[in-house]
Amino acid sequence: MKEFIPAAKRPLTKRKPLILLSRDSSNAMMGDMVIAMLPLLVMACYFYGSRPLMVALCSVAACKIADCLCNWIARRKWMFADLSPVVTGLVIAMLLPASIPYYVPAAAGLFAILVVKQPFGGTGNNLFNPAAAGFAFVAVCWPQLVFHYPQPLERLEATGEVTARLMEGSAHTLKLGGIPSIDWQELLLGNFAGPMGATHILVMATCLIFLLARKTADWRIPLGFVFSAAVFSFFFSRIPTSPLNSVCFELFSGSVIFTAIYMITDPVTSPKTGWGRFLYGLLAGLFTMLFRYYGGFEQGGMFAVLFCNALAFAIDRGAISAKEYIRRVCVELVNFKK
Amino acid sequence: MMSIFRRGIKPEQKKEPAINREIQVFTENVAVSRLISEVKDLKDISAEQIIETAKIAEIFDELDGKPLWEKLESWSGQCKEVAADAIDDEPYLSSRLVLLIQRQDEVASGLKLCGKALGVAPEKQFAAVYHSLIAFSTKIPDRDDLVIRRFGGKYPIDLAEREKGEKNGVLYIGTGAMVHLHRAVFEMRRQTTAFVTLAGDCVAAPFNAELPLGMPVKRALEFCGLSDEPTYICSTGSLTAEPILNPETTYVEPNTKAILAFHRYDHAAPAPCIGCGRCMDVCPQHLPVFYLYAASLHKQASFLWSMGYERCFECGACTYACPSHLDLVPVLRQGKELAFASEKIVHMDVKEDVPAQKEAVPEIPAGLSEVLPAEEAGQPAQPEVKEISIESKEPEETIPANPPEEWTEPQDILSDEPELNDISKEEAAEILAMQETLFGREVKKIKQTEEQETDNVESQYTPESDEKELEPVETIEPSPIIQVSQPEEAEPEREPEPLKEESSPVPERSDEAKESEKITEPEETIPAEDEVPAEPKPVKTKKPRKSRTPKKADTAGEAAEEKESPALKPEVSPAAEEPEKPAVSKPVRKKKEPVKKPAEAAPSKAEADAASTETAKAKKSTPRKKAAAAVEVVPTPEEHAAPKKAAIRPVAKKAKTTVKRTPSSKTAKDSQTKQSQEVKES
Repeated sequence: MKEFIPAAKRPLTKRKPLILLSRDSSNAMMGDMVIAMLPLLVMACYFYGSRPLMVALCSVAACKIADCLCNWIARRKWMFADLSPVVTGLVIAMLLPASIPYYVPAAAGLFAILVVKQPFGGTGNNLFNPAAAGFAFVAVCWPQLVFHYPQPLERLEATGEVTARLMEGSAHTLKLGGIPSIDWQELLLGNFAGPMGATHILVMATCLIFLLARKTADWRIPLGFVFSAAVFSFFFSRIPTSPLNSVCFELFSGSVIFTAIYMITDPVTSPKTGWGRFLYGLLAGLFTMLFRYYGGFEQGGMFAVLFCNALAFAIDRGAISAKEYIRRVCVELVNFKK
Repeated sequence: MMSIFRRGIKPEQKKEPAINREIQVFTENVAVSRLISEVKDLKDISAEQIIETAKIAEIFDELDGKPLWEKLESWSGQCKEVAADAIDDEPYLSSRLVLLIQRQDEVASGLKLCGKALGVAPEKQFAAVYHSLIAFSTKIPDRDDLVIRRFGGKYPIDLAEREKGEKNGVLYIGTGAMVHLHRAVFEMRRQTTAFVTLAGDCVAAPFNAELPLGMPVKRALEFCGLSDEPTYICSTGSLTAEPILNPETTYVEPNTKAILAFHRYDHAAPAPCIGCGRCMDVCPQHLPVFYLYAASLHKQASFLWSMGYERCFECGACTYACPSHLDLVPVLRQGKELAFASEKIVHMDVKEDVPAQKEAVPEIPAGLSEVLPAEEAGQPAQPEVKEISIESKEPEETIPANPPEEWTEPQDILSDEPELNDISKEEAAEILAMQETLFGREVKKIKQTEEQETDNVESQYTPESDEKELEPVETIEPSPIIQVSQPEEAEPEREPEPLKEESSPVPERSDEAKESEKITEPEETIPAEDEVPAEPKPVKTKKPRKSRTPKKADTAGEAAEEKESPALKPEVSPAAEEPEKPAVSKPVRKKKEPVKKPAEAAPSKAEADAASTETAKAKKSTPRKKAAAAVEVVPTPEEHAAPKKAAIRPVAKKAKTTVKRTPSSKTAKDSQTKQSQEVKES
């Protein structure tokens, strides 16, 4: 009756999609990430006053407005309810010191969205993690501002210049070969000079449990990351102390744990296969430690994340091919036995 | 034990009220056909006879819609185990499991027959049941002769076990087919019904039913009673659902396992794919669904080849798991078609060499499809298919060479194809005007002949004559005149011309029902093209025929309803049709019945010989059918045609005007006028 149109030219069927669907939604996954970062913001406000709130607001606003504007330019819907630029803004804010002037997080947010996310296709299509790229951009542009932290529990002005004393973080001490003079309780609670959201280790561990339970973050990636970072710092310690101490200091200084939980687990940029994810985490941990040891900056997490984002597709392809190969080998063996 | 590690999803089962209720039988149709002499016991019948019986009784396996005899024949001798598949692992479905509970004798006997037909020992026959850890606690009565094997784990159990079974020589046949086989062999009944679960949000009291094949879905939903207006109706499953867009022109088929009606349709604006990878986590075949989806969307066939696209058996787990609520299965299906089509083209020239190679190197593993086009070789492409059978049908049927008609159908009805279908009324008028100026007289001639045709047809073709010719929903007793071979002879003639069935003159219309049995697909598309209320686009063409469209839908619906009894084709209780039609619009029916009975008392007495037994039997059935049977009944078409024609022509002009109104009202009026006329005549 009708002529046969080959599948390549046929439009997709206009059938109603299934009614029986899981109750989850992708925006809810982003919402989980936001929820997991709010306790960190609360802790930062506890330590530093209301300024962290302003910093976060600055970066989130920059990201969100840029994202909506770009969606309009690209003739997609505005997507006001999309939470993924909010996640980007919060991640950038958490990595910066609380005393940072407001133009820095704004610049980071704008770079992240306008250069790294939207030109590649917007939400769901970005190749590189926009938060990591934004933070790397400001780290390279204003290293003095980004890597000097105020002491916790000092009042910081919410507006105008910050007059508090700024000091180097513990990662800088490690880079010089020294041992940071921080008690282990303070280390876990975050009561030391460091990025405003990335120092609260215990709180972050709780948030990790929350994300794993909700299946927003795949468990293999943080596991691989922390495992390889720990193994590397155990065997190649750069500070004159016991290897276990070295592991503690390396992992809890800078942004290692924060990267492991929030930056590298981004579903868009990470591989999708199980084994691929594990390998991805391992590589990211290794590269983080290498950047910390031999790179120009005291932190290496954001660069390692960008590096592994580039490798993510190759890792996936490798994993799929390896699975197919193993499957065929098994089938061959079974047929051979028959 | 290892089923814990099986990939999949665990949706809520939601089978509860339906599975504990009795199967409601819609009709008591006893379609008897001359199959073989009556069989009392299993040992009286041989394997070939069982297969022959299955062929004559036209039994279909509801798992995949294939004819049972084909399955039995192709697997006989190579089958190690046979299973009655009562694994209902999809939510809401329970039609197979409830058969195992409530019709256990028939299922057990059917299983033994299948075992005998395949040559499988009784120890290797079992019934397969889904036993989920959190499932309902339904007790399946134990029997000595029926072994029940339980399967556990996550959702695509049925499909996964069937795939494995093809690899290992275990044949799964649905319990419905077993019941029908038992009835065919021991009670000489053809398959004229299907066991269907009627459930969903909109169904107040879900239950399982035995519905006649060809019943419109709308009628089935009315049978079960809707508590709310459904916005989404689907059949054959809940996770492997086939959405039904037009319930009036979609019919119950042998592989309809469920009709589900939902009233909530909460779909937010479609979100983009965020690459979370959950689809890949739940895929039972370990396929890279994310990449297959992206490649199918962007039509990259070479990418698809490398990823094992043919192993997807469309379970729907990925669609369930996707948090962005993307509709993955149809896109993957298109990707499969694309990849298969393009792969075939590349390997086509190797086809002739392959048989020689096959003999030389017999142990080429089935998985290396890039070396050999295994499908073309006749060798199984998938490792699951047995290597013994060279011309086994399984690989060809799972991946058809050209996208088969079942797949093109949704395209035809649903797809937005601007090249073919998308012409608005203004454009159509423009095109016609252009054609007229270009072709002038010829167009006018064509129009005139079309109008003449419709005039002729309408004069001969009134709805009540249609009713009389078609077979009844419930059949009563076989008349000795009738032979089963008749419909089979007639059908091949009619096959090439499905479009013309409406315009055919009176004597051929009795074949409508017969061909509607075999050819349901063209019928579905014809009314669907004209009567798709959901689509805003105006339908193209057929303006002169527009007045007949309500009739067409009716006759198609009725014809499909009657398709179960070709054996009783000449024997017509035409007004058995009438209760079906008034059910479409209820108020008319109530008016009709009291008027009918006094008017028809006289004619029924006049023609009573064969009819008396029929009416007697009809009285046993529901009062609705009683009223139907009380109307005139004609034993043979020849006797019927003559007085009817005499009756029709004078009435024709009146009928014409009423034709354009609603179908049921016009039939009521026409039948009344006609009956009054006949009363006068007699």
